[in-house]
Parts: sequence; structure tokens; C-alpha cells
Amino acid sequence: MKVLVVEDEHEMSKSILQYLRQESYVCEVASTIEQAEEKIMMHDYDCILLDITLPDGSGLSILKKLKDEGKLDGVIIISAKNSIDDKIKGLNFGADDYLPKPFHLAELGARVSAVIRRKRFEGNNTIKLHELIVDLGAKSVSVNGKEVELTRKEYDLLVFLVANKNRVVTKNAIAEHLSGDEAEVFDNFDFIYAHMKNLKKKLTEASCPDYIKTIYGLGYKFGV
Amino acid sequence: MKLLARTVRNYLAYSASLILISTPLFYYAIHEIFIHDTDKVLMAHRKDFLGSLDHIKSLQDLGLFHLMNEEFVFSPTENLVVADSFYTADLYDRGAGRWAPHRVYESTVTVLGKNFRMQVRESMLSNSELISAIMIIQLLILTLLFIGLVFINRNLSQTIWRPFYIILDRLRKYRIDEDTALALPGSTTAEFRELNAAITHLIERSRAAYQEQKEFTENASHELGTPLAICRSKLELLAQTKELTEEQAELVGSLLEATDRIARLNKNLSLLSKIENRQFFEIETIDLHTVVTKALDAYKDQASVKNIFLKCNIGNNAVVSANATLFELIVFNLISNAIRHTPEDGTVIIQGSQDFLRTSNTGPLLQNPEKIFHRFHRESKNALGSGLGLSIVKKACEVSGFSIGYAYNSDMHHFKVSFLRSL
Repeated sequence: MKVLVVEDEHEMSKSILQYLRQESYVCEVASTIEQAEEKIMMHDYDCILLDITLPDGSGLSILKKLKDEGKLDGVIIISAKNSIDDKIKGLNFGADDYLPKPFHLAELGARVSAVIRRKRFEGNNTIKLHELIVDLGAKSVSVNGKEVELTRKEYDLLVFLVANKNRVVTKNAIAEHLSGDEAEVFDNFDFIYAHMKNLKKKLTEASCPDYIKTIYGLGYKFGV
Repeated sequence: MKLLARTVRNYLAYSASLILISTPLFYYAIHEIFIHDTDKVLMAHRKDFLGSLDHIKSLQDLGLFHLMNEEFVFSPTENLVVADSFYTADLYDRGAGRWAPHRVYESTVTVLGKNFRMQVRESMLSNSELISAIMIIQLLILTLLFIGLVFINRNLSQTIWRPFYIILDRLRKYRIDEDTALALPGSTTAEFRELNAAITHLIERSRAAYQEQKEFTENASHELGTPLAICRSKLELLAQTKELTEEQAELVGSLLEATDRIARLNKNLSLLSKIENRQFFEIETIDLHTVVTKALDAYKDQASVKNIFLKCNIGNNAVVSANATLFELIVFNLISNAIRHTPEDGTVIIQGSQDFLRTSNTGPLLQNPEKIFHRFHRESKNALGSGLGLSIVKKACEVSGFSIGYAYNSDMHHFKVSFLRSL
């Protein structure tokens, strides 16, 4: 799966690349509109991460070009501007998602994974990890064919961890993800422990191996 | 005290003292003049009498003279050494039919070898009437003068002072955070022109300073975004590295938490400056119930962790017209603030209708309730909020035309946003 990162900040694109590479995505970087347009013409990408403020103009022009060309790449706008205006404009121009900077890499991982899955698998969108099956379309989880009843938060938590599997997901990233865009996050992560405990209990009761590991001081890791 | 009242008061004091001092002075002056005149008249009478003394041949003639000239009164006396004297005495005035003050000249004359005490009397009744008439006229003139002064002053304050009151009114209505310049009326009066110039200059400078500060906050928070994003991403990558010891993991975890706090603070600062810059202006019709439910959904985990009893009562058809972003900010921040500051096993009550939204939560009395909406004001050191939540709520309310108030009673903190826009 190919991902293009359009970002002029070198260190930022390096981080994104490093993180996404662990999920075996093939990543390329463009730091100007010119470079980005060149790459878009030559390749098809599953997902494009697009910074709005680029040295040679607004990233929105790339979005327009993609739409004109009829290329159905999934585009996620990543912007430091965090302006509602950019968000609405971007989504109107056909972007799939909008992620304001600074973001958690885990959140980015989850969004990229969601965009790619939506594009690739459309109706039949399921994640299969041994005996565990997550149906993203029906929003249901089953172990060995038997459905596991999860609350919405528990389901969100599982999908978030699975999208970032084999990587450490920090408590802060989880807290922000579960609280939603608008919510002010509290510096109290007790509620994550509660959800995590219930999720683990439900999965093990359905005789699913305990994939979720607690990483002391940091967060959790879904290891397969 | 109004300017008019102050000037009128001074005029009044001056006029009153003028009347008080001048009236007796004036009275005595006129009185003296009249006495002087009367004395002259009496002397003239005496001269007439002495002139006609040759024609008095007998005592009968003297009696006749007295009958013809009533002002002359003769009485026989032994003593010749009565000095000539003038005095005033109350005597019966037959013409007026009552007692009246008279001016009397007293002397001695020798008629036909006999000594007489002679009194020449002149009634001053008409004189005192004249004096009181003059006094009344004087009082009348002074009163008219005073009324005229007040009247002229009032007129002046309405015409000459009008630019001043216009300036005052505009200044009172002027808001530095609004983007309009202050328009002051022109005036032909030099003082007002100078005042206008000084005010305009002052306001321009304040506006520039305010604008600069606003831009600084906005630019600073924007510029902080990228290094913060890099910092956070590098820390997350560091967390991914293999063979991270427990000690290192804890360090990375603490760094990540601190970074997240900076990021939140930065986000809130930028939000605050955006609200101040009035970047949210599109008005929509919003259902209060939907927004509150959304906020409660986001925060109910936090409430249940602290075992907080949550009660929500929003009236039917609670529809508010406002900017959706600002409105969500108000509701989300108020509810998160209430939950954040409620101690364990406390209560949070949310009430609302189309006119108001009120959040109430249990908690100890605040030490500085007047600072509650100030930026970076924190009541307790262990509350890890950004210190900006309520400032954001206040700004968002101001920009939306809502009013917000805080009260503490029955051991609960109450925040009430009134959606009724005051005109």
C-alpha cells in the first residue's frame, strides 16, 4: 500500500514515514506542490497526507488537481493552521479527513488505516487477526465466529489499537481518540483503564489470546 | 455633580451673597441720601421762618404760623442753650392718619422777647415707601439676573457642550476589540477639537497595541505548532524503540504528557485569539439538547471514574441561534469544567432551556471568585486544566452576545449563560 506524504517540514515527514513504515506501508515524500504533483501524475497512491501550508502555495490546489484528474486517492489534510475554514474547504474539495497539528502518530495511523480500508474494501471491510475478526462495516467483533458484545467505546478502543498494531499506543493518544475532536482532554486516564479492563475481560472470556500488553509508564500495545 | 449644576451653584452662591451684602448697603445709602435731603428741606423751612420773623407781631401770629405751617411746632422754654439738632422720631402723621417716622430739626428762637423751642418736622413716610419700592425692584432685577444666568447656562450646555456629550457617548460605546475606528464629531470649539485629537490618538495607540498583542498570540501559537508536532512525533517514535527499559519508558511517558499539555495550551490560546478575532460569525439554529448530549457523551467517562452523579434537564425545543463552533465551545467547556472541579462522589447538574444554560457542581468555596474568568487563573494547583477554559467560555459568550455569571450557594458552583441578547 502506497502513501504519499506532502509536508515541507523535513523532521515531521521523517517521523510520519518512520511510523507508517512499521505498518508496512510504502511511503514517499514531497515537500513542495511541484514535487507532489509530479509524483501524483506518475503513481497511484492509496493515501495522501497533505499539508496545507507549503512553500510554493496552498496544498488545497493539489486537492483540486486530484479531483480534476479523477484520481480517487484518499486524502487526509494535516494542517498546523487548525482553522475551521481550511477544514471545511478541504472536505468540500474532496478530502477524506482532516487532522490538525500537532497530532498523535497513533491517531494518524488509525486515520490512514481507515481511509485505506474504506477505499480498498468498500463493502467487505474486515480486519482478520487469527481468531479475531473486526467488521468495520457492521462495527462488530467476533472471536472464532462467535460475536463479542462490546460497548461503543470498547469497540473504538479495539479498532484504534488494531490500526496501530505492534506499536506502542500512548495513553494520551487513546484519551484524545476516545474523547473526540471537540473535547478537552483531562489529565486523568483512569477511564482508559476501566475501558481497557472490560475490553480485555470480554476478549479473554471469548477465548481470545491476550494480545493487548500494558507498556509500563507509556500505554498499550496490540501485539500479534 | 453635573457641570451645569456646578456652575449654577457657583452663580447662585455669588448672586445670593451679592444680594445679602448689597441690599443693606444700598438701603442705608439711599436712607442716608434721603435724610440728607430732608435735612436740607428742613433748613430751607427754617430760613423761610427766620425770613418771615419780622411779620410776626404777636403770639397769635406765631400760633397762626403754626396752623399754616404744620411742620412748625413751638413750645415756650426757659432754657436758651438748646443746641441746634437733627433727629428722627416716630410722630403722628395726620395726613397719613398714622404714626410715621419724621425728621425733626430742633432749635430755639426768640420771638417777641420770649424764648421758644422750635421743632421743624418732615414726615419720611413717602421716603420709606420709596426705599422699599427700590429694594423690591433691586431684588426683582437680581432674581431675573439669576434666572437668566441659569437659563443661558442650560442653553449653553445643550449647544456648546453637545459635542462633549456626543464624545462621551461614543467613548462609552466604543469597544477596542471591535474592528471599527472611533468616529468623533467635528467641532468649531478649539477645546473640543483638541479633546478629539487627544482621544483619537490615545485610541489609535491602544488599538495598535491590542492588535499587536492579538497577532502576537496568534502567530506565536501558530509557530509553536510545528516544533510541538515534531517533538511529540519523535517522542512517540522513541516509545516504539525496542528494548526500552522501564525507567526510559517512564521518562518518555512523562515527556509525552508534558508535550500534550503544551499542545492543549497552545490549541486553547490559538482558539482564544481566533474568538477575539471574530473568526466565528456564521449564525445557525442549534438544538441545545443535542450539544449537551454530545458533551456529556464525551465527558461521562470522566464523571463515572470520579463517581459523580450527573443530572441533566434540558427543556423541550431549546433552540438557540448562535455560531455552532462557539456554542459547542461554551457547552463543552462549561461541562468539562464542572466535572473537572467536582470532588469524588459529587454532583453535577445541568439545566437549560432556550433562554439559558446552567451548570452546577458541588465543590468548596473559591478563594478568588472574582478572578474566575481570568486567563491562567487556577484555584487549585492540582487541577491540571489549561487555565483557559473559562476565559474561552467568557470570550465566546461575549462574541455571541450572551451573558455569563458565576454564583456560589448551597455548596455548589453555578455558571449560568443567558442566551437572551441584550440590545
